[in-house]
Parts: sequence; C-alpha cells; structure tokens
Amino acid sequence: MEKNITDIIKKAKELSLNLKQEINHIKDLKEIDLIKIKYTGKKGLFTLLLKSMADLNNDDRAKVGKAINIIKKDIEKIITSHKSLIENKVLNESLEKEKIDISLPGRPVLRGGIHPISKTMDEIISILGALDFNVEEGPHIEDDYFNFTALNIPEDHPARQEHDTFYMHGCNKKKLLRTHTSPIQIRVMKEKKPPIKIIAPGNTYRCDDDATHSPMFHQIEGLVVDKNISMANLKWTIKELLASFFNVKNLPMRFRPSYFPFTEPSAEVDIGCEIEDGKLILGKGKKWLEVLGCGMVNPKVFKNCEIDNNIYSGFAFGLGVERFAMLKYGITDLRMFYENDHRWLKHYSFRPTGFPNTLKGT
Amino acid sequence: MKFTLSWLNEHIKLNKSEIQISELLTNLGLEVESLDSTNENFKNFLICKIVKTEKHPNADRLKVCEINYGKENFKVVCGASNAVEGLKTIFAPNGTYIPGTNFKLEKKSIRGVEGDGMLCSEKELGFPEKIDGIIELDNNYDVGKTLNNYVQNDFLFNIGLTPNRGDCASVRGIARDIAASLNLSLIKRNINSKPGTFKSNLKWDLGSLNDINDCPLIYGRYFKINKNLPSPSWLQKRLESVGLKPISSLVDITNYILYDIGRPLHVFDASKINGDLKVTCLNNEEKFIGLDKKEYILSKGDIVIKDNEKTVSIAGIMGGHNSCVDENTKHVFLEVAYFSAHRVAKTGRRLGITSDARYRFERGIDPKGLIEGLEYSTALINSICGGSFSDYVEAGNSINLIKEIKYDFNIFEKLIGFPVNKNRQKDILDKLNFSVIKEEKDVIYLSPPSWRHDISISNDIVEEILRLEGYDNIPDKEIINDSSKKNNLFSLSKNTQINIRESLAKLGLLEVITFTFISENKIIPIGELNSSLKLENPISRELGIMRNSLLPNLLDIASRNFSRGIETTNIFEVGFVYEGVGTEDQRSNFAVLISGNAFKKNWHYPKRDFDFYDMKSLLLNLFDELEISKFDLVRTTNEWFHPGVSAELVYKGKKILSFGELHPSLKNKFKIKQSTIICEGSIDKICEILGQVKEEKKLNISPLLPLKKDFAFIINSNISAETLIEEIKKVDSKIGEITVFDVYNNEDKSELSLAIEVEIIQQHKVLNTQEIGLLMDDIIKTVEKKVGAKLRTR
Repeated sequence: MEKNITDIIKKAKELSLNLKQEINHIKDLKEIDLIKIKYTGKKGLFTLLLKSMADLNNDDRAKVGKAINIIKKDIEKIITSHKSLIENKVLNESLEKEKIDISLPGRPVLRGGIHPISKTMDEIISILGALDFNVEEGPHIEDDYFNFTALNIPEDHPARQEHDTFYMHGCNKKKLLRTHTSPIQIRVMKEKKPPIKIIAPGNTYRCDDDATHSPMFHQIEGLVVDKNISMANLKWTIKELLASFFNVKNLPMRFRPSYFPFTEPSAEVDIGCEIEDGKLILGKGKKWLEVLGCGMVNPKVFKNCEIDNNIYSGFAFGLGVERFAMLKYGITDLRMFYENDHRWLKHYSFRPTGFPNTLKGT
Repeated sequence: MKFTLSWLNEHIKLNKSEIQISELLTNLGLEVESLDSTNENFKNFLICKIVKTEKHPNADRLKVCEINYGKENFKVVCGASNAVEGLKTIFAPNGTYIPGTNFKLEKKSIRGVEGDGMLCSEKELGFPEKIDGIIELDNNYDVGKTLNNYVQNDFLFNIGLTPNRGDCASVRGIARDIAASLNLSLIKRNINSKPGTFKSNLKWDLGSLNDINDCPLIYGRYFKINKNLPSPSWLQKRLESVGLKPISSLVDITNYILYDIGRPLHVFDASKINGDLKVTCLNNEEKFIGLDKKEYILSKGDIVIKDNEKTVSIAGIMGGHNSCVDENTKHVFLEVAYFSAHRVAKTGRRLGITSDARYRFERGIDPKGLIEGLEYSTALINSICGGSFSDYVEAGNSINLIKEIKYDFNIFEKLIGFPVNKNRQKDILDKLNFSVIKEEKDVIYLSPPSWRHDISISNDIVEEILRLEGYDNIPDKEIINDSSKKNNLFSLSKNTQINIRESLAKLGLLEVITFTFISENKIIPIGELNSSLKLENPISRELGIMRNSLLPNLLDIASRNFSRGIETTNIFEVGFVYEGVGTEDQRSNFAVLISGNAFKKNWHYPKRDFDFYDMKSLLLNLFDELEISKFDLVRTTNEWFHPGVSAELVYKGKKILSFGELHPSLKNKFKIKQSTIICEGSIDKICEILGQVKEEKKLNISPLLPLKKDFAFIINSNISAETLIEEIKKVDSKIGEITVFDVYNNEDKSELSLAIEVEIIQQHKVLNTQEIGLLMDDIIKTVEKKVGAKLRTR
C-alpha cells in the first residue's frame, strides 16, 4: 500500500518535471492549450493520475491528495505563466510590425509671434505697471503747442533743430507728427490733478532716414507729479526699471548732467557695458552706453499746465524702445524693425505668452 | 564742439590725464562724445629705407622697390622720381588709412605687380607739401620705427554740446567750467591796449533799427594792413586740429578767436564798401550771395548790414561775397557785434545756413565780451598782417542783462533729495561766477554770469550746484505710494489692442509693425484721399500720407515675401489709421493677411492655398477669445474685396470688421499674384462691445448621451447654409450643435447639397424610436416649408 502512495506522488512529480521540460519548447498559444489538455484536461495525464487514487483508502487518499494538489497547482501556475509569456511575445511581435518612422515630419502648424518692439514695450510697461504707473496714450498728429511750446521749446529755440519735424500739409506748421512722447505729459497734466503717475508708450516721428535713424520709431515717456517728489525718487525709479528690464543685478548706472527744455535739472543715464568678441555685454566693463534722458519737470512746464510748483514737484523720463530692444535682444540693425522681412520676424519674434508679468520675470 | 588738449592747456593748467579730463567734462554736463589721440593713426606708418629699385616690367614710369623695415623687407610699386636706392622714407602697408587723401589703402595690383603697400608723400600724410614725390627723411629718423614716435601727440575732444550751453562753444568756455569745478584760475590772453593811430574811415549806424534789441551794441575798427597772406603755421595747425580749413590770415584770425573765446567777428574789405555801414531790418525780399558763393533769398524782417548801396552781410550768420577779404586786401573793417539770438535763429533756420557764427549767436554770446574780442583780434591782426589800426568806433548802448533770481537754499534738498549746506552752495555759485545782489536768512538774490543766458529760475541754480556737487551723489529713494488710489494699468482700448495681438499671434500669425505713412497711390478707395493727411515734408513720395488703412503695408509685405520665394505669408498688425488731423480722428485698427500656401508642402495632405474659410475660422476663434458672440456675417461692398468672396461682421447693426479675398483688380496694384485673403477691423468698435454688460452664459450638462442624426438636403444656391441651420435650430429645444460635413454644387451651380449632422440632446429622459422619428420628420418638414429644401434620397 505504502508503495502505491509513493508511486503516485513520484508519478506526479515526474509529470510535473516532464511538463516543465515540454513547455519550454512551446512557442504559440495553440500548443499551450494542447499541453493544458494533455496534462490537466478531462482525460489528461494528471487527471488520470488523480483518478488512480480512487483505489486508495480514505486516509491515504487524504495524504496523497494534499501532496498531489500542491503539485497540480504548481503545474497550473506553470502553464498560465507560460501562456502569458507567449501572449506578451505575440503582442510585442505585432506591435513591432506597427512601428512607424518617428523621424517623419508631423502635420504643419503655423507659428505666430509678437514683434520685438511690442514685446519690449510690454516688458517696460509691466515693470512700471508694477510700480503703480498707469498707461496713457495721445495723438500722433499733434499740435505744435503740445509738442513744443508747452514743453518750453519756443519757436526759435535751438532745441527745435534737434527735432527734425514732419509737418502736416496745409496746416501752416501748426499740426505735426509728434517728435517725442512728451506732449502726452502736457495733455495729462492739463486734464488731471496730481498725484499723477503715468507712462505713455507710442509712435514718434522724425524726418530722418539713415542707418541709425528711422522716420518712425517708438518711445516711452514717464511722468510723476506729486508733493515731495525729488530727483532721488527719479533715480530709484530708473534703477528699478533698468535692473529689471536688462535683468542684471547691480547694473552699473551713471547719471550725468544734460539738457532738455522741459526738465530742469536734466540728466542722461548711461549703463555700464563691455564689448567682448564683438558682442555687447551689459552690466560689466568700463564703457558707458546712453539709454535714456530724464529730469525734474521744469516749473515753466508746470506753469503752462496750471500746476502750482510751490506745492508740487515731479520728474519725467523718456526712452527709445528700439534702443532697449536692440540692447536686450542683440538686434544690430535698426532698420530691420520695419522691414518686416519674414526670416527676420521668425527669428526675432516672441511666442505669445500673455502680457509679461514682472513676478514671473519674463 | 571740438578742441585739443594742447589748446585747452593754453587756458588752464591741468595736471590730469586726457581720460580724467574727459570724465570730468562728462560729469559737468559737457559730454565727451569722442576722444582721439591725434597720432594714433601714425602708428601704422613705418620708417624704412629703399634698398633696391627696378623698372616696372609693364610700365616705364613706375618702379618696383624693395624696402627694408628693420627685420622685414617689403615690395612696393612707386612712381615718384625721388624713389631711389638709399632713400629713407615712409611706408604705409596695405590696410592703412591715408589721412591726407582720406582713403583706406587696399591691396591691389598695379599693372600686374602686387605691392605690400605704398610710399607716402607729404600730402598723403596730411603734412604741408614742401617737395614733389615721396617724403625724404634725414638721419633723425631710424629705420624700423613707426612714424608716431616722431609726430607730437595731442588729444582731440569732441563734445556734444547741449543747446543751453552756448557759453561752452569755445575753448575758454570749457576751461571756465573746468576751473569752477577744480577751483583753478584761467590764463589770460594778451590783448591790445594801445589806442589807434588814426580815425576810422567807416562808422556804424544803428539809427534805422526799429527795435534796438536786434543789435543793441556794435564796435568797429579800421585796419591798414601790409598783407593778407596765408596765416602762420601755428595758427593753421590750430585750426586744422579742430577740422577747420585755413584760408587767409584775416579769416583765420576771426575763426580762431571764435573758437578760442567764443566771440564771433567779421572782417570786411573796406575798399569794397561804399559809405558807412548800417545795421537794418529788411523791408523787402532780396537776393544775396554769401561768402560761400551760394545765393540766398533774404526776406522782410531779416537783420542785415548794408552800406550805401548794397547788403554786405546777414547779421550774425554770414558775410557777403561782395565785401569779403582776399589776398589783395589792404584796408580792413572789423565788426564786433551783439545780435539778437532770436533774430539770428529765425533767419538762419529759414535760410538753412549752419555757420559757426550763427551757432553761437543763437545760443547767446557774452554781452560783456565785445571789447575783449575787439582788442584780442586787433592784437592778432596787427602782429600777423602788420600795418596800423584806427581808434575803435561804436554804436548802441551797453547791454544791461542783469537778472535777479531769488533762490531759497532749502529748495535744493527738496528737489534733489539730499542736503548740501548753505555755505557749500554759496561757494559753488561763487566759483561759477554768480554774483550776490542781496542776502536774507535762507534766501539769496543772485545774478548769473553774463555768459549764462540759460539761467533764469531756481531750478537752473539747483542744477548748477548739482553739476558741481556731482550727479553721482544723488541717492535713490523709493516713491511711497498711496495704495488706496490704484487705477487700471490700461485703458480698455490699450487692453483690447494687447489682447487682440496675443490672440492673433496664438492663432499662428506673425505680428508686423509698419510705418503709419504710405504712398498716396495706395489710398483705397482711389480718389478719396484726405489731403490734410499729407505730409508737408515727407521722406519720399512713398511715405507721403498718413494711412487710412493698415492693409496697403501688409500687401506690400506679402508681395515682397513672394518675390523672395516665401510661399506662406501669415501676418497681422495692430496699429492706427487716420481719418483726419484731429485728436479724435486717430483710430485703432487691426488687420490680418494670409496669402499663398495655407501650409507648407507635406506628406499628410495635398498643398492648397489660403481661402476665405481659413480667415473665417481665424476670426471666429479671435472673437471666441474676446468672448464676443451674437454677431452676423453679411456680404460687403467694400472696395478692397472680391464682392462674392467677402463678408463683414456686424454686431447690433454696427460694422466691426470686413474680410475676404483681395479684389482681383487690386492684385496688380500691389504686385500680388498668389491668393490673398485680408481682413481689417476696428478695435474702437470692439471696445464699445466689450464695454457693454456681458450676457451670462448658462451651463447645462445632461447625464444622458446625445444622439446624432445625419441629413442631406438639396437647397437653392441662393439660400445660405446658415438659413437652413437656423431654421433647424428653431424646430425643437432639444436640438444642439449642427455640423455641416459635406457640401457640393450640382453642375450649373443652381442647387447645393448640404450634408449635416444634428445633435439631439436628451435632457431628462432617453427618447424612444417613435419620439426620434417624430423629431426628424419635424426637421424635414420645417426646412421644406421654410427654405424649400428637399431631403436627398439615395
């Protein structure tokens, strides 16, 4: 009797061993099913073996049954895991066939962009906007009064000669294309009461056309009028603007005396730079580069705008947008801004990322 | 304003390097625009010796010389007869800038022989010409050295003078500012102190001036000179050092004094003058030939100098050719005048004469410097031209320009933001030659120096103190904001401009920025140009009028792109157009242009051109981003567009924009061949819509699946697809989105087949077959009845 038990277990182990050997040669799912039938099917080898246990007594059957069941589970496990192995292989083979050339181009998409002048203006506006300046605009076709006279530039003033002015036809030189954004100062001061804290971006025009001058260009004007505004406030504002715009920490900056009829005292502002291998590097070196003009609002201008300069003081500044764009983005030819050459635009335009946010630093 | 360091040193003793002086000047507001070493370029010229000469193989008059420069030998082709073996001379290698003839020496072959450079003549180096041929050097020069070792060095400063600082349009003026800053004193010039030996044959007459301020004071002196030869070399060199051309002793002396002390002078040939000279205001227009031999038309109101028969000078601007000094001049009359800045500016600007005299007069000259100018020039004329001179003559009265400016010492800190004590302020003003008229506690009454016409108010005085104290000392102080008064950063208009720009760029269009003036020929509709928008003085006819539309510039770009082989143009501009010269006539617009290939050649789908529907979806996307809906598209009669392939977008009866295919007749005008779709819209009108209260949208999400049913209808071509869709929408509230998925015309284009998918939203319950059938029948019946459409049967 003992012998019979051991025989059955031995046989079962043998079967299990055989299966392991056999299954390793199997390559497809059909064969795996056949193997399954061969061993565990209704008439399978293992099933037959189990049936042979019927001859045993209950005690023995329980003993053998336990051992055999473990082996049976093992066999089933082997079959299933080998099956999924093959399934995986089959899937991988079919996926391999579906392989495409990933190097082929995708469908064309048109790429848009923002002109570097707009981008530069937006950046400056957002920096100053964060300092609580508001944006004002004014007409491009201006009155002589706002462009010159009210700004303390009377008709025979030599400063007028520095403004090559476009005049409108048949208006007896009374209407002109504004030569700077400063007339907006006058318009705002005549309209609003202090405190005033504005910037005025926009087109400006001078009758000058060569490699370094464009008949139309862009400026941004700043004006602050309030009680107790000093040149120290001006210097702080300009420092904030330049450091933030050029994104250079401790940007060397120089204020030096200059002259504008509408500000007194007046200053021009230079930033430190260096030319290395023909490339301009801002923020270090011994060269100075002029970037903007500014000063304290001339009391004569206040008078023209009926603001009492015993109570109020103010400062103004003006900068050239093209110059700022050229310095920051390494654009060397001023005239290309208006050529709108497709290749140039594609190179220098900016992805539309929404209005720049000073908090993001873009 | 140009001057050299050596010239400056004649006025002030400075123990500073040229770099230090340059920084000092810039910090004083006299910006040094350039600083050049005058012999910098001479470093490139080499002292060498001719070691061998041979006849040029292809030219009889030329020689091929071998020259030695210390360790190196060069080959050079030379035509000078004095180029002989053993001669020590100057060699300029290829690439050297030749100052005398103002060109850069390039490598080239001369009759088949290529040399390494050239041998130089005196003229080529900009030296006085003493001999023919190339320079001959003596034993003081060593072969192997460069020429700069033998030419005295100097530094040329070029100052960008601001219009207020006329007082610094002279070497002494600049020295004066330096003296104030460094607390130094100026070196005085030697001037004449002797009286004349005879009475002047000519006198001044100011009697005919209506306004004595046009010429309040004038001096004159008569000279009988021995000769008016070329001036001595020291004087020529001085003038040349600042870029002036020497002419003759008399002219050079006046130019020299003008640059030296800022005093304009004029010399007449007295023998060409008939009777006394009067300063007068012209009553009539007249022609005048200037010293430059050009003809000018003088007008009524110009201040001139006349003798008994003719105009001899435009006061303070330019002398006349009819009375100018020349090499035969023996009798000279010197003019030392004070002319009104305003008159000189006005006439000078109208005539377009930019003379050194005008430059100084219109910025204001020192009214107290007339006698000095007179006696300084007398000394120089007498010593250089010899002869004798008369007592001076004068007319007019001394000029009283005393201004009294009230200045409160406290204003400095208030305006600048840091304190400078009272005594320091007073000290600075004293150094700058301000005189104190009266002094109270914190207030002082000042008179500025006679040469500072630009100082009239407290702020000017603050700037003077700040200039000397140093702009570097200004601290930086944050502005304290009243945060309760926060306004919007932008106006609605500016905000909308930026939003439209962003949206269009996101939709795949490149932003362009173009000039706001265009050619008159490009104003559409043709013949409807507003001539008040023309420029009086345009750069060119192409830029002659303020634009009424953004489209012409965009079309020009498309045309240019195409001619450059760029097949796709996808651009937009957000800018301004002008309906008139008034402030209200400036309009904010945007325009889009898509032209050529809709996408580049690819392997996914066939190439096609941009069409109307590309633009339509662009614009609908834009309006979606702007959150504007409920507008209508109607056909347009706008001249820009193909009448059949264009539309305008209307909101509550207002036209917002129009778009469509460029009118075929305009294609030629703009030199455009490819298919081009354009759009122009009004941002002002969009702002009006955005300014209105928005309707609230309701969100309705049904948990049930929507049904989709397809139909194909045949309709008359005159009926728009939209009419059909709108009718279907009205059939039942359950009808959702309607999608057109196929369109085709029959052969004669009289009928159109439209295939549509209708979405049926199951709001509260699932519809059964019968209910769906009824709804579909309803749709079919409605379109049959309302638009005459028939269901297409298969």
